[in-house]
Amino acid sequence: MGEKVKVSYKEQKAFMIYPDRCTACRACQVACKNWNQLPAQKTENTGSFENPPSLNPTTFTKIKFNEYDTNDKYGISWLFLKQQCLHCTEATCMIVCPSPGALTRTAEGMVINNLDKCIGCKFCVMTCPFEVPQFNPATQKISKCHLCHDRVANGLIPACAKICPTGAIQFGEREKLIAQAKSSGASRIYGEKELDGLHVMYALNQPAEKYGLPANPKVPSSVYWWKKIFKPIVGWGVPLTILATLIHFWFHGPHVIEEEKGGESK
Amino acid sequence: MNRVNIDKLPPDTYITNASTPLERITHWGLAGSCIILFITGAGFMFRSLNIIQRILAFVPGGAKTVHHTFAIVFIISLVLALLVWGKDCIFNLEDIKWFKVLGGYVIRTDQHFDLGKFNPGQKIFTWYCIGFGIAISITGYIMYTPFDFARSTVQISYPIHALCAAAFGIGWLGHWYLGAWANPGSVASITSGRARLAWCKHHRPKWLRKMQKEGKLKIAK
Repeated sequence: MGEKVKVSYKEQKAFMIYPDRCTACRACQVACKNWNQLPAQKTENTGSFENPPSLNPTTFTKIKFNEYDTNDKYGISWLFLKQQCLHCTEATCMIVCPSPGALTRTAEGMVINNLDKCIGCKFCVMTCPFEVPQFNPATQKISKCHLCHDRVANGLIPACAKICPTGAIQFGEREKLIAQAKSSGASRIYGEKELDGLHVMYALNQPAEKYGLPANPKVPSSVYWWKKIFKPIVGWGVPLTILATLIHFWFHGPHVIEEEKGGESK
Repeated sequence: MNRVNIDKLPPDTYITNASTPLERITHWGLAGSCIILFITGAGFMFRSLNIIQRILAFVPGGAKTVHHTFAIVFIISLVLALLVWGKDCIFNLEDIKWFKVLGGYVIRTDQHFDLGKFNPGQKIFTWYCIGFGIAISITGYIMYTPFDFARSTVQISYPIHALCAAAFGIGWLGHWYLGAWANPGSVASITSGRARLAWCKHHRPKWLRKMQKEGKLKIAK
């Protein structure tokens, strides 16, 4: 199910994120806001260094702090994960979107949103396996990372990759990135096969769940029932019912009551 | 009290209160909102029908606003339908005979049935509309305010809403065919409330007797 990327596999661009190299400096968050001219958000300290607490309409990417006990003198540590749209090949958002052109795919495989076409139905917000698209009540539109498609189209790399001081965010040809990550000894290339291939992948050395990623991301089964079962029932059921009535009328005609003429009904 | 003897009236006499004004408002409120909701909903479901969204682009908020607005008309009409017709749509023993030959609607028969205001097919359709109507209203509300509900609840609402839409699309066509096109004389009973005496004797004899007994029949030539 889903819309396939109509370019050869080699032409696709992607991110390979190495969470082990991330220091949570959050320069990527700032660079993203800077390039996309997104305002800062006023948040409250809830006892975590993680800020802002979640993706929101003006935050397309953020570092998630997955805190865990270390049982040493420090007590705790973190697994950092760069959260953003993962630009799935089998993109649930594109499957459920009712407005043509609101979510489209670039030749490099990125899923980009066109605010002029977005009708604010929130279908993508509620069905994305990674809970990425955010609804902006002020504009009644969704917002999400577009992988700096404007920069990429002009031969630049995305702003977050450009700023990353540790090399945790690698941008380039998808196949090369996968080969590099495999040779680096990563235990799992998250996104190589998931949802027919993500365009933001993670070179993980810990189970995906520890990073707060779904172990086996899938298009929700409800979307399958919605788009593959019930939608065709509407699409076929209505014209077939019209056909059935026409056939019935052809053979039986109208049900005329003959009592009006003193006879019996037929 | 307006007592009339239906047996002495000519068959081309009209009964003018075959439906009450409230019934007609309820019926057309449901029918109108249902059609608009189905068309606008189809515009969301099928990208090939995106023209519906483009046509309604002049409305602030577009087809979505139209869909949400008529959903309110639909829900009010649905509640009225339950109140107005619920009691008349309780099944009885006479209905079993009707079911055995499906009222002679699919395969025509000359058999007569001592039916009240609604035949069992109409009763089924009323409960069908009320059942799917409640489901489509609840899921629609969840889709309208998704952040008030769990993601899993919202996700399951989408296919249920689509299933109900299929039920209404198909059910409405069947209703229109049997209630209007294939059965001349039936439409007037729900548009003007007028129905020929012969039509009433055939379709709702028990109701006719009851109305006569209670002196509630209104007639016109």
